[in-house]
Amino acid sequence: MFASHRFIALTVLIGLLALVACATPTVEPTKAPPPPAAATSAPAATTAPVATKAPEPTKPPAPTATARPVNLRMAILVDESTLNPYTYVLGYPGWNMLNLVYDTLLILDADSVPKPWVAKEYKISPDGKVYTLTLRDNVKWHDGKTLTSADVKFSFEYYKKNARGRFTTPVRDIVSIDTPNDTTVVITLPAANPSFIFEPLADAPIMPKHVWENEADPKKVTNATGSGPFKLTEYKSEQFYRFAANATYFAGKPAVDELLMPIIKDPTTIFSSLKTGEIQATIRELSPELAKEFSSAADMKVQRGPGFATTMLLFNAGRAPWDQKEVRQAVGLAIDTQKLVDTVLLGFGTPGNPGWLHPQSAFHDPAVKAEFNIAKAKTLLDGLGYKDTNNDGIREIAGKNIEGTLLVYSNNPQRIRAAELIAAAVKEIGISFRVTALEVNSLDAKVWPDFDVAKGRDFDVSMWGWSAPVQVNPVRMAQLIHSDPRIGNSNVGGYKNPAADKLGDELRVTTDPEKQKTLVRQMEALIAQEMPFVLLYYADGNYVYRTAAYDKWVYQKGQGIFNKLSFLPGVKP
Amino acid sequence: MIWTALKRNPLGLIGLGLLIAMLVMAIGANWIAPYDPTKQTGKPFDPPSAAHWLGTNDIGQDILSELIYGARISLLIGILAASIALSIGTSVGLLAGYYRGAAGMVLMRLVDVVLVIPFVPLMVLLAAYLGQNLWNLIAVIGLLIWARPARVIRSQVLSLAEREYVTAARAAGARDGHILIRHILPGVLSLALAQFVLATSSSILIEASLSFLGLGDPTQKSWGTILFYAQARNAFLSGAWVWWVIPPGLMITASVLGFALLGFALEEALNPRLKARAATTTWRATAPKTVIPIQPANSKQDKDTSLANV
Repeated sequence: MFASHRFIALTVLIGLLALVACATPTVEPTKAPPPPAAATSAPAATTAPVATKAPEPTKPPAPTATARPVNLRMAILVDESTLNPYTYVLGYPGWNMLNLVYDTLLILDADSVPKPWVAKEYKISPDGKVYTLTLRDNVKWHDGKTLTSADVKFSFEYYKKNARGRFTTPVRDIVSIDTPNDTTVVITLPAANPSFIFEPLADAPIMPKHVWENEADPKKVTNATGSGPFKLTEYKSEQFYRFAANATYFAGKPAVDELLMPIIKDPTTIFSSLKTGEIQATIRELSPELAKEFSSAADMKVQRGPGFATTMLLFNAGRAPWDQKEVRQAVGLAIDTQKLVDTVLLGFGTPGNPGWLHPQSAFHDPAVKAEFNIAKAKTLLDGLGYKDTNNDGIREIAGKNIEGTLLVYSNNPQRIRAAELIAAAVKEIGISFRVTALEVNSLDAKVWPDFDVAKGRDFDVSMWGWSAPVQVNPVRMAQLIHSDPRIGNSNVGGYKNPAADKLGDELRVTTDPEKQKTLVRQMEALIAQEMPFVLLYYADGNYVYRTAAYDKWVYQKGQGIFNKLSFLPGVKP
Repeated sequence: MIWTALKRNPLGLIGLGLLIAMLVMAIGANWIAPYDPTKQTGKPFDPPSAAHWLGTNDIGQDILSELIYGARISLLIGILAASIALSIGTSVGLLAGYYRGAAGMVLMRLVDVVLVIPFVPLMVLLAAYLGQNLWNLIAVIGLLIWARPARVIRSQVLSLAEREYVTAARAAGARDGHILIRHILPGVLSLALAQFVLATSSSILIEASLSFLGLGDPTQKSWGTILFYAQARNAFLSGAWVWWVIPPGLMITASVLGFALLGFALEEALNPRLKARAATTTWRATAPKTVIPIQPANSKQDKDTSLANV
């Protein structure tokens, strides 16, 4: 039978693919790199009497004559094209790979705080508009030329002229860039901007002027000359990237001599190759069940760190009955977030703080805590007059049930499971959630049409989440609950409350750290009380590697182990 | 008559046996399953134990109970989708076979188009536009597999429409609708039954494939969905595939095989063309009246040739 034969064949094919997936990924053995060069001295940062100066990088251990070269294979999932600032594909790991080859003026340290790097010090004028950066004088391009202030000026102007969203937006407003000498850059902004040290200073790579100045079409540039700790020595499209250590790197020669990054598209294959030792690390995060599995392997280590990405239950605060604070509170009280973490994340996560901030955030007020209390939830609903009079297990008022559709992305099995557990939990207090899985674009079209909260919304309740950066900067809390769509551009649930608006307006203009902290705490208390959303959990980041191959990885808060510092052990910016 | 034909086909009997087992499982799920599969009854990712014979899934639900309840969803999808497919397929087959002019041409080209539609890209699109729920899945599968039955039925109609009793009915002034329903439809019903069983088998397999790829309804506990979660939660890496992937795989195989074997057996017994091949051996002995191999097998049609009820 034609149709059924075709599908039997398809099933067999899928089976075969699964088997092949367990087989070897095709990575050719690496050639031995040249013997490590003589120990390079770490740059001596000249001391200057300013607030922000670079501490002296400690000397990397001098390689002995007998030291075996460290070759490392770290798998990625997709091709990142020719690695230049205009062609790399993904923010992660593409940008991180770019940063092996290029350098930034500042660097995010292990706590994700910007610290001096190529710029050994920086000064900000009292009005916050003028940045004066002093560059190190010993930073060389891979071709031996010296990196100077002219390269910095050229790069920022190039980004301004040739659009690449990530790098262009932060430099667009720069009024002027002056280079009084080879190691000084003076950047003038139209207004104070506390984000400027993150982007572009710790984000946009510096490009060599002598390579790029005659390039009109940045996408066609294949010359990957940078100043970073690695040189890109070979790139085979859809196959692998090969990086060699830059022996003359200003912060010391990286501890890995050759880094091979094979492209393996299937995560299952990546982890089975890791088990067999064909690769020694991967940029891919471990899911909880694998973290559990790999934790017990003797020759591997799972490095775990806090994740700031959130998973939450979002109410449409403009639609009955979710517009009632007590109903939202009752839902929050009915959900045991610790149980969610234990079940869905197998314990690899932190239960949600109802006030939004991760408990490890410096701004978090420990007094704000989640509460799981079924009896209290029931009392709240009783108080509103919701009673189950027809004994169907669902409370109603004037014949109208408390019920709603709970939307969830169909491509996110973890969230679907969480949604199912939540539906079961609220059933206990007489609320009915009908879990409906929607394809990503369809769900976004209902919850956040055109990614513009001013365009309204059409849903009851939805599983939702924000990425880590929203969590890192507490000022962004105003965006989550402010009713003016221009300010509350992340207020996807359409929550409205004059008190929240007032607090948000204040928070947005406050620069004094102490005052900011107080406002953030007030905001946290307000969110926990009003529950425009129920914060369910923050999943941990888990990364696995083989310890015998290389074990000096640095977990950068919110960013994981694939960063420049992981290859420069002992260097603390 | 169907039963007599089946009795002589051991593979068909095996198919029937498998199907009865599935049906019992689906209907009696409440009594057979040890747990409610939607309730958390153990720790997540538990290996098989006395309490959970096939272990637990990623949120601590009993996999054995999921499997047993899964028979309901899979059979429901299979049977409903096949019903849709056969309703469309039979109608198109009848019309295309009877009206051989431009209308028939257009219909058959439509059939050709449907036959070559690639499922997966279409499902991705439909999932986006219609939403991923059980009923959409059934409708889509039904709308995609009617072409084959339509072709088989049309070829039978082509031969039926040339019979004397049909010509006679037409000569006697019977309207097309009357001829189609009273004289031709009964001649293809048995064939449609075999096609129905085969379509059910395809539907179950398609549903399993789509659900495994995450294009089904992930909130329904079908066998394909169990596989979807097993894959999504890395059962292939952790060794859990032994109790999380193989059992649903076997269930899908068993039900598809059951329907397919029964379908082939029925087709062989009821499709006059296939029967013609068999006729040289056993069939002639039991039905000596059949001289022309392509004569309709259904006795009801023979009665109709009398024109008595025109």
